[in-house]
Amino acid sequence: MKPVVRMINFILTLSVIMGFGFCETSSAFSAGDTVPNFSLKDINEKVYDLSSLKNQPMVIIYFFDVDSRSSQEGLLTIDDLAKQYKDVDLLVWGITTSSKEKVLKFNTLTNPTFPILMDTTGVSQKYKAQTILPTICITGPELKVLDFFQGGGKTTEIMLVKLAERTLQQKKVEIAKAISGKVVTKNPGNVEAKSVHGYASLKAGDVEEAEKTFYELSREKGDGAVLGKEGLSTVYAQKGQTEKSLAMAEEVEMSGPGRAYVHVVKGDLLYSQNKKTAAEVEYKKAIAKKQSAPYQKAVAYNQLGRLYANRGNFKKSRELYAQAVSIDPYYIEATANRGLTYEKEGDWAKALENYRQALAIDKSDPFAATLAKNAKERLLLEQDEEKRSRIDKLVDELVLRYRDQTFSVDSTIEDDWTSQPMILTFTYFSETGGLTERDGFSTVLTSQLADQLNASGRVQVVDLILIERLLERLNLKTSDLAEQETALKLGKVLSARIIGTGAIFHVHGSSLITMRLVDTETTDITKVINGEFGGGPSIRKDMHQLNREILTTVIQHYPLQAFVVDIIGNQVLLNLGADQGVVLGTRFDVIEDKPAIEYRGKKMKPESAVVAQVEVVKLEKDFAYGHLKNTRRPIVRDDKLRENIDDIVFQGQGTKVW
Amino acid sequence: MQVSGRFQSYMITCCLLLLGLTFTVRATGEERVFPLTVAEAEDTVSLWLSRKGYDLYRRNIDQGGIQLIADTGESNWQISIWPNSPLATKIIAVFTENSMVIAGRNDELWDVLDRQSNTPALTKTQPSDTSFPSFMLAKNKAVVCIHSGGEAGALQLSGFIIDPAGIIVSTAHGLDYLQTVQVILHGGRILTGRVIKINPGLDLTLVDVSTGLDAFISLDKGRNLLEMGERLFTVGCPNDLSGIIFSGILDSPPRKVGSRPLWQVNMPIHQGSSGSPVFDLQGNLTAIVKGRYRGTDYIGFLIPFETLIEFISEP
Repeated sequence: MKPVVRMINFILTLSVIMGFGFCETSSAFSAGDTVPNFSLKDINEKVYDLSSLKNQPMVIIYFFDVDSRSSQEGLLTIDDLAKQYKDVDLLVWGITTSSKEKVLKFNTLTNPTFPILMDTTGVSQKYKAQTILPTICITGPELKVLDFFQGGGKTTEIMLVKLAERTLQQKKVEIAKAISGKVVTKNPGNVEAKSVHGYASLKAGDVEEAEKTFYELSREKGDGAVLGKEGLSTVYAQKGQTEKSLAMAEEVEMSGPGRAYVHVVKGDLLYSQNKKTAAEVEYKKAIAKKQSAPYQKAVAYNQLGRLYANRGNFKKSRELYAQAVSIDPYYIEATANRGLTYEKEGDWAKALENYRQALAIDKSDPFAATLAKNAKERLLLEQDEEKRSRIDKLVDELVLRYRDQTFSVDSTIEDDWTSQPMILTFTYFSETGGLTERDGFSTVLTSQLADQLNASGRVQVVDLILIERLLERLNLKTSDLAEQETALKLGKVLSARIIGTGAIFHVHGSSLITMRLVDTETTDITKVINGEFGGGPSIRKDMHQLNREILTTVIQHYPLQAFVVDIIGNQVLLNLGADQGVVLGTRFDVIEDKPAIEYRGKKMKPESAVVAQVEVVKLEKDFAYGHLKNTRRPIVRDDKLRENIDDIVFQGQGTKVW
Repeated sequence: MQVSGRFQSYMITCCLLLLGLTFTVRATGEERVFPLTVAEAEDTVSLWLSRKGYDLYRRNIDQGGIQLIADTGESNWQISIWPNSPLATKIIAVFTENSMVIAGRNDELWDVLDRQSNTPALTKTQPSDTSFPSFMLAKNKAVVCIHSGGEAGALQLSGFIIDPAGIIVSTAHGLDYLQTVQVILHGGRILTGRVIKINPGLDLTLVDVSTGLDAFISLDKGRNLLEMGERLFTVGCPNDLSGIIFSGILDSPPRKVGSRPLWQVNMPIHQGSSGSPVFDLQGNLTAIVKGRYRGTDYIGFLIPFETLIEFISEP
């Protein structure tokens, strides 16, 4: 063969490889297109209809050939992850035109966790996946295209990095780490995958691992060094090492002037130093620059939107949030923030619409769920004239009480031993510090805690709508409740024994909270709870922990007190019930007061003796039944009962099967 | 045929017992108690079920309980949740597949709930020993936040009242003699104060708000000599957050800066902490927070009590 012919053959071969083997193209679909619907069967004749996945946040449609190993590589990597991580929650459909026998063999060999569908109706053609395999289409909400890839080899790697980014956007940090980790193991030179791995560690709260990843990346040459330093700047900001973070940001600006995210980090730091104008400049720079992953670029739009919203420019902030969501359709924060701008304008219907969009991305998101619940309640109240008039009447009474300083006394209480319901009210939480990605932290905090405390049955929390209406009528602003005297006055009017107030300080990546529980009768601080709320997935756990701490404080400082009303065998009737905070399993000590002892002119009051214990087994509104345990003397009517916290946290070991 | 009332009631009881027995047999399930609140247990179970792709229904049941019913058409979970105390929850789970009750399918659910039960406590901003002596709450009332300057050159410090006549001690850095500052009291009341005494060398200042104040920290109860490893507490306005309590350990011998000793402490020190009073375990005033080691939030420096006395005693 002549050299010229050999050269032509070589060029042709190369072009085939370039065109088919390593091609990433978006020629079939563009981002945002809705994919064509189809209905296919697996080898067991089970029908799979794509339209049933319309509400799924992410679907991977993977066209492949069971005879081609390179076309299966990405699919098998995802399958490995799905097998390794039970909660991986990746929705994948494999589609092939291969014969039934070959698919059966493939299924037997690989035992995939997702269905392999037989394309007998030309679906591959609709997706332009007849020639180049694999063809991978990643769709987002409403089955709209997020990413489209064709070809194996390098393209599979690019697809996996993109998938890792997408899972990171969805806050599935562990799976993002796992996918990027797999790419790095196969190709240690993939700096994008390393960077995603670092940010996923940071979002998971593993700051040390993130720092290690970014440090190693920063030691590399070229793009890797810039990505590493940008990551390090983020890590230092999260650790509160402001100067170090800013110094690293300067280095990134020098070596990678096109990088966008570093300006977001700088903007956040400047905002937390109260330099809002300078922060705005940085966010605008971040928006103008091109080099960044979409999920980071979206943050720039969101932060500028937050800044404008804090200035009251809701229209402008909404535009920015919309841009953020158009870049990152999983950006739940920006979607919910847009709802909050409507909420602040009093448009609850539009607010709810946005919160529902946020919930479509992740129905378990605690922020969106709480905000949606509040908005729904407001809308229902707007329609419920009877309830509104009931609230108005109550508010009228409370206004009079507040002005006359007369506080409600329950006239049915005949003794000073029996407990009254434990009522708590949240007043004011100041929010200062940096600009978190999410707006409305204090609203969500107080609403969630109110719901959780009410669900405990032990504490009743005053309805936040009632407080809001009362403040309106008294011409008070929420911030006026920062004055403890005003807050206490309001708490007493609302018959609350405890007011919960405090401050929230946002630092990069987390929020510090200090909550004071103040006794309205004594004005003493019953408890100060200091804590740190991590961002991302831990917020739900942090909320529950705070709820536990408040409940523990209430039980420790205000144990329920009751009397024995009747005794039937081993069962006692108590004069407290569900309305006063008794729940199933509440433990009481039956106590016996000891008379004071006088010894050599000195009077001593011994501690009460515990003569039995009672565990509540049945509840009514105003009374309860309990079983007697550890009885040391016969229990009689009018014996005193006091709630015991020591033994209530965990009773019962092991599983009971019945 | 006439049936006596007694026999009738006997028959009804028997039927009820039989019904109860039938129900017990049909609803074979597993029951466990977890140290979780009802809200937390419900949240955890709901999340687990929705991640498994179940449609979820919720209803209130007797005795303050709730039931979650999850269904895919083929399989079904009925999970009943009752309080077992305000801080513990009893869960009964029944799994059915094709209308048959299947036993032993709860391991994954129990696993998820066990993991939730073992979640560490809310991340504390203070070191691991999170208990504070009760006196710190009383001391808190005498602590103030101090602001000076405008937006560009804004300065925020902590301070504490040492005289009910309205005299406050703070650090001196960033302040000038006779400068006017804003003082925010524990309850949120805002007063205007003036720097009446300053010693930049000792980094101490006195601010006068010329208003009678109830809470104050007496200098009569001070302590000079601290021991290495001793536990200390501070309350101040870090990051302008009033009333934040931190604890730490004296972890290094005193170092001399100029001619004055400074103590090094392993304690969270944030922007705005300077001027916070520091106490020992008995509630004695031992030092004032000077600042933090540059670039860290956990290595701080304290001005010893004796330096404060020296400053106050100066003419």
